[in-house]
Amino acid sequence: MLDQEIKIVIDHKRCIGARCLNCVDSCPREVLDWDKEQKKVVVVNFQECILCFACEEACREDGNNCYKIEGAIRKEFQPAPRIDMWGGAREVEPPISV
Amino acid sequence: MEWKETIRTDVLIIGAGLAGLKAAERAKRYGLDVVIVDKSTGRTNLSSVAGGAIGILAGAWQISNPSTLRSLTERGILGGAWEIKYCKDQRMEEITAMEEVPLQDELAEFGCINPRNMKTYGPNIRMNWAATGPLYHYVQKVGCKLMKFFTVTDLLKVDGQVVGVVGFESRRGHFMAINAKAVVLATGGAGNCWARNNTPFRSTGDGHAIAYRNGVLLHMMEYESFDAWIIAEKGVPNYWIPPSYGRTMGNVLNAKGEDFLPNYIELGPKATLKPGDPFHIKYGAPVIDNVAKIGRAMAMEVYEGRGDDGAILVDFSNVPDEAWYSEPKGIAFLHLMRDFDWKKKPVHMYPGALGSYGGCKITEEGETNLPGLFSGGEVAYGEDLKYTNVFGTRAGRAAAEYAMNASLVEPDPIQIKEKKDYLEKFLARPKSTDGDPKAIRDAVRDLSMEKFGVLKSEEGLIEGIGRLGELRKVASEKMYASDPRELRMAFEVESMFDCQDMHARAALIRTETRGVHNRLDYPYMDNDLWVKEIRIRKVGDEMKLFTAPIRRGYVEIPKGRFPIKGMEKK
Ligand SMILES: Cc1cc2nc3c(=O)[nH]c(=O)nc-3n(C[C@H](O)[C@H](O)[C@H](O)COP(=O)(O)OP(=O)(O)OC[C@H]3O[C@@H](n4cnc5c(N)ncnc54)[C@H](O)[C@@H]3O)c2cc1C
Ligand code: SF4
Ligand code: SF4
Repeated sequence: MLDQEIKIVIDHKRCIGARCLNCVDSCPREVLDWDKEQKKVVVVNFQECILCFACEEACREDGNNCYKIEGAIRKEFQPAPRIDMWGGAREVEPPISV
Repeated sequence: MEWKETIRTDVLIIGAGLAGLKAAERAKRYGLDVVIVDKSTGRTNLSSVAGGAIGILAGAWQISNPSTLRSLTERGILGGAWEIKYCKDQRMEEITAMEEVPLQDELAEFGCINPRNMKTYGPNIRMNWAATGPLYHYVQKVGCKLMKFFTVTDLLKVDGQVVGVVGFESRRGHFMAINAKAVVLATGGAGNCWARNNTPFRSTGDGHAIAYRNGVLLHMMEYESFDAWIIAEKGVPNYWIPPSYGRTMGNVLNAKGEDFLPNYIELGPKATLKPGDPFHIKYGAPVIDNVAKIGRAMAMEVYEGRGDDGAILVDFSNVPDEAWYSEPKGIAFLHLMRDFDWKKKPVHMYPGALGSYGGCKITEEGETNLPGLFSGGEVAYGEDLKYTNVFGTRAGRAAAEYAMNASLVEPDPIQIKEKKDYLEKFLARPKSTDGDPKAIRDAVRDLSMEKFGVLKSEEGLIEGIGRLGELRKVASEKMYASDPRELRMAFEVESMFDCQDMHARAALIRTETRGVHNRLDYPYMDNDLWVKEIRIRKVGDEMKLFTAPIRRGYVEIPKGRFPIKGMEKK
């Protein structure tokens, strides 16, 4: 369990909204939407958010940088060690994924 | 919505996932005009969220054993058991050659300096976006034109030859036709047709449906892979727990607290069966060899009444914190679980759709049976990055070579109008409760999970096909789209209907259990009857299904019927 709460924080004052919507369109899980009435980017389905950071990255890449996911663990990883995957040198499951 | 002037190009690529990008990059080398269209940004696809196991092939990990590459390839992501491997065996020969593996140098050329350092789920970068991202920028740098938010809805044909596509732009909202000498279909998979899945929402099998409607030969549509570790908890995404060290240490249990996996998988001679040992030590067999069986086991436990709330339980209470914090995929787990306290409560899980093995039947060079149409990636062969990479590249090469010798054939304006009218119809309809595309989509996804899920039976499939038909009828009369964005969804729903219909009908014919295809009424693998593949083609208005022998020679296939462990009637 994480100590801190994860949440999406948008600085609506700086967000350029309907002219952009890069965050909304970069989300693979339909977490975000453009609320036509409120004229705001809104989080509609946080349950589906897989914390892939695509939204945050899209906003930053376009220079707006008014979108942040707070509370997430931001840890740099060292390059994976060169390991012999099937020769038995490593005890754990090889880091192979589907 | 207004109509924009037709644009012309040499090679048109549909889909900016890994397959489409590789195809574009290759076609561009011929000095041709290349246009890539994507219904989204090109970043909300399978290739961006994938685990990035292609890193292994890119030299991310040292492969000391020369046969490892081959063994890796054999294992693919299918889980390695030869019973499943069989369904891929006809392409094995091609894949093992691996002529198009992006070696570290090649990736570096695209700007991916250190594929070993992919920050999977890290703060800056998404999983396989580390590899596709640089390629995404690279193809644009070398002059391929990327049109985002362009949904292709159909092909244009003249005398059976593909001469372009029609579709619409969903941001500004206009229709458009694209006239091309060669078209590459690289639209990815159909995993989002199932309610439980770990795929992007745009993976709705559009390409499968477009291909089908245009008479392309498809095959293996009955195979949809289900990943076992998909979370089934409220407030937590119904997404997979990424394969991490921590995941392998969890104890998989049924509602009675029993470890049921030994009833379904073959234990290795050194299996310890000690709770808390990592999977491959506990069962003496690697996870990767058992992916399909674990999913089957979970579903069987629930089916036979030993599940809890329609799921099984995974107890992570003994997994030390370091196991999660030590790798990006472990951190992804922490992120996904939010404030769910897995140290106190076991996590409910049940399999969900991951990828589509079936798709366009292509030649080794990526050609479909339609002249001018090429295909690669999940819409064609296989469902992993290796296949996508190889066949995306090949499709691009073949399309370019075809385009070099072809001239532009003007599409038929009447055909274009018909296809536009088909789309206008959704926009013209009034809003209604039963015509809401999102609601219909959810209904299709729920139905798929219920009737075409992990465990199938004749009764369920027939009922499901019937119910799918009813939903389709309602959609064909009522489904509306109030804006271009919603039109995209309406079109996706139409695709889902065709995909799921093909999936269910093919699954109904395959009267056996094999790999990811589980039939409760045929709990055995039948090598006497079923060492063949099911092919699908639209003839007139009818879906024709037929079988064809598979190319042998890669794996030994013993004759006989083989009961499936844990599935036999008790
Ligand atoms: C969670 C997850 C993890 C995975 N991990 C691995 C792994 O570790 N190793 C591995 O080898 N494989 C893995 N896979 C499988 C692999 O990601 C896919 O098989 C592969 O990326 C498919 O690539 P693609 O280019 O065919 O499809 P995609 O990347 O999905 O690209 C298709 C593109 O086509 C576009 N498109 C679709 N329809 C239309 C249309 N009508 N008009 C215009 N554009 C359209 C889409 O927007 C999309 O951008 C994983 C898959 C998932 C879901
Ligand atoms: S990407 Fe940033 S600027 Fe653009 S709509 Fe989203 S929050 Fe606003
Ligand atoms: S982190 Fe990923 S899933 Fe979550 S809102 Fe952003 S783009 Fe969507």
